[in-house]
Amino acid sequence: MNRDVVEKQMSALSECGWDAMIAISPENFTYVSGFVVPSPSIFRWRHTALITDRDGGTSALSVDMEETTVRDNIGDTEVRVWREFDDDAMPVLADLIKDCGLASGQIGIETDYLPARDMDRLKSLLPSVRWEPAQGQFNKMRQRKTPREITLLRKLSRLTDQALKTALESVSEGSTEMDLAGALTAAIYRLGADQFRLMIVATGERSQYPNVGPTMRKLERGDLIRLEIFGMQKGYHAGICRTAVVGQSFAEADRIWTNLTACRDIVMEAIKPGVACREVYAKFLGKFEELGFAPISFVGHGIGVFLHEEPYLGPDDSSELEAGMVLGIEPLVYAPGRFGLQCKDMVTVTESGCELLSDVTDVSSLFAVN
Amino acid sequence: MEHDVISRLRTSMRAEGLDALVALSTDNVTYTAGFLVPSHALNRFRRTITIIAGEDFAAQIVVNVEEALAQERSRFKRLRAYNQFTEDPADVLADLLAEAGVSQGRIAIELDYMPAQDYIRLVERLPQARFEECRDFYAKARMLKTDDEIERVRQVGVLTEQVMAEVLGMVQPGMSEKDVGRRIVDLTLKAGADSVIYQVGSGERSGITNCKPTTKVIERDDVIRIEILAEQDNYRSNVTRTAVLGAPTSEQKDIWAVLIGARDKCRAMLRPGTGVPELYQTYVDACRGGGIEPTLKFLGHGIGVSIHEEPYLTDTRRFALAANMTHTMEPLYMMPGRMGFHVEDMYVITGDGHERLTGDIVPNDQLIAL
Repeated sequence: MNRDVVEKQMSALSECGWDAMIAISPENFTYVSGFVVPSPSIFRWRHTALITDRDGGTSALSVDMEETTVRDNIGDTEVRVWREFDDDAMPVLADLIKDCGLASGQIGIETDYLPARDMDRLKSLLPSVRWEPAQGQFNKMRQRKTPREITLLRKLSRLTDQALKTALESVSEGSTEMDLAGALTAAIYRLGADQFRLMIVATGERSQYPNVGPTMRKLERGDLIRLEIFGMQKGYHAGICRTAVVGQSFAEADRIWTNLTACRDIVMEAIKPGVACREVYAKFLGKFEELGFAPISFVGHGIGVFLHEEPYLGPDDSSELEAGMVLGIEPLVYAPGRFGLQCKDMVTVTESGCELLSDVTDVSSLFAVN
Repeated sequence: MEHDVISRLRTSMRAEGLDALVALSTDNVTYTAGFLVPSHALNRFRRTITIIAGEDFAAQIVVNVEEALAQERSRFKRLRAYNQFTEDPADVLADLLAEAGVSQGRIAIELDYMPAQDYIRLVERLPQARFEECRDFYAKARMLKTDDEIERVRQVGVLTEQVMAEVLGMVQPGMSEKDVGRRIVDLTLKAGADSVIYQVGSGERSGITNCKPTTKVIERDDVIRIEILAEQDNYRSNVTRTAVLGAPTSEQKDIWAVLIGARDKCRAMLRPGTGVPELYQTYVDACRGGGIEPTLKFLGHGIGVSIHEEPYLTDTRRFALAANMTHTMEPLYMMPGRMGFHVEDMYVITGDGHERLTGDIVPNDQLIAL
């Protein structure tokens, strides 16, 4: 259990006047409990939830398939189990809520996750509960990282960056994208990640496609390589992207890269407590527009137990940055039909500005692959 | 000319008197649209939705960043891209349903997937519409594969079994479970799969149902369970093998003989018309007859666009096997703290029997001795 998060929940509950809040999305379950339950993200009906009350008391609901994992990791907390093929999760959850003494309480639950059918069921099983949407509270709590989280994300950012560097150093002209993918996954596990998501290996003309994985394509002289991965530890993500060139670089690539790294610097300069997200985006746009390519709709976003969290550094977000936020910043260019380049880093907002967490690879020029 | 999958769904809708069919889940959107929107599975804050209505209305909603890919890949010619920061996807959906002329109609929609918050907004916008669940409708439709789908399942199944053969060929004492995991990823992607999930459990850990690989070192005489789930072009495989790093003991051989005996009894029943509850009962009785209580509450599951789909081979599915169903059979027996046994292969029901899609490349009538 992440006691630092439970304490945040207790403050939030007291502030809202609620009696309890329930984490039921996989990422918020992980956020509070400190561990990942593997299958609910894939099999969404396998509801696994964590109830926190005003006194910091916690109770868990688990699907039978994951009971052993939940019991072994949750510490001193009651675990109520429901059987995937015999029970419906909601009546079991409703009973647990009653047993927690909350049958007439005001309870926050993630209405942007819980399916409509399950919400209706829960409402009819607990007619005296006043339900509130909890996602806003969770989003707020998750934006300001605790010292524990920042330490983890700093370590994770470095090892992910190192894995990308190692992978790029291990290939040369004639290597395949598969070789690159194999090197990256081997490195990221060896360096201590326990999982990864969204590995992108996009080389040559394939570098124009945002989210593609590796193929048997061979690296050729003059190819651009976009290599990206989200390293994970304990459910936390660090998303980093590096761009390389095979052999001698070419003028247009250098021109774009110089601008992207300048955008990166401008964004990092602009990031400090009190600055509005849309202002950071505006500063980025001011520089990026010089290139003449279509800009992305946000140049950065929060990141933690989910790949994309609030706040978004885009034109529509007027919220202000705060110390303790961890952000991914990701200037990029896609030239349709031709290529793509991106520099994606992890930063944290400090009391006075911004600290780069992914500080391993030198990005002052395109990474040279020979 | 509308795609086969869409026109079949339209025919079924007509038969049930439904005016519109709305998919929101990754599986059903992928099933209808013919491709996976990359951020759909990863980022639940980006909705992607397909709508089939009336005689000829068919449209897909995607977040604007995915529009280019959708234009290239989607079976839906009509696309509506939306801005996740400024538009409510429930409003976009309501607009399209109104345009399709079904504001007062019977609309089948995934209420077991759609977030409660979205549904509340949808009902506000279309108060005269009658919304109903469609899990069973989709499950029934997807259970019967087209010939093209059977081919895809076969292909990814064979690919996976080939990888399994290679992986088993290189397991040595002294390797860690994570080492084996890395090789699985490497080999499966090299073989042409788009993504892969896997479990590796050795020694005592082979007795844990969902055994994520750890740094545990594999030792002589360990039982080792390897499960590989590959995905190619959105179709899935699920193949598991159990091996012993040395000579199996007589206890291990006896347990294996019971599981394989049960599996083979069930194989003899794989033909159109066999009742699913009877098939499951045969499995349970055969295991119990050999002194083993099966660990899972199902013998197997359908497989296609999703890893687990209908038909689940368990007592609550009161229908018969039919031609063109693709499914697994996976006798599984865990002895927590000691070891575990699991064999899984894929099958298709044909006009008068069945065909084994996997099981030729790595036979498993005996426990595999490495």
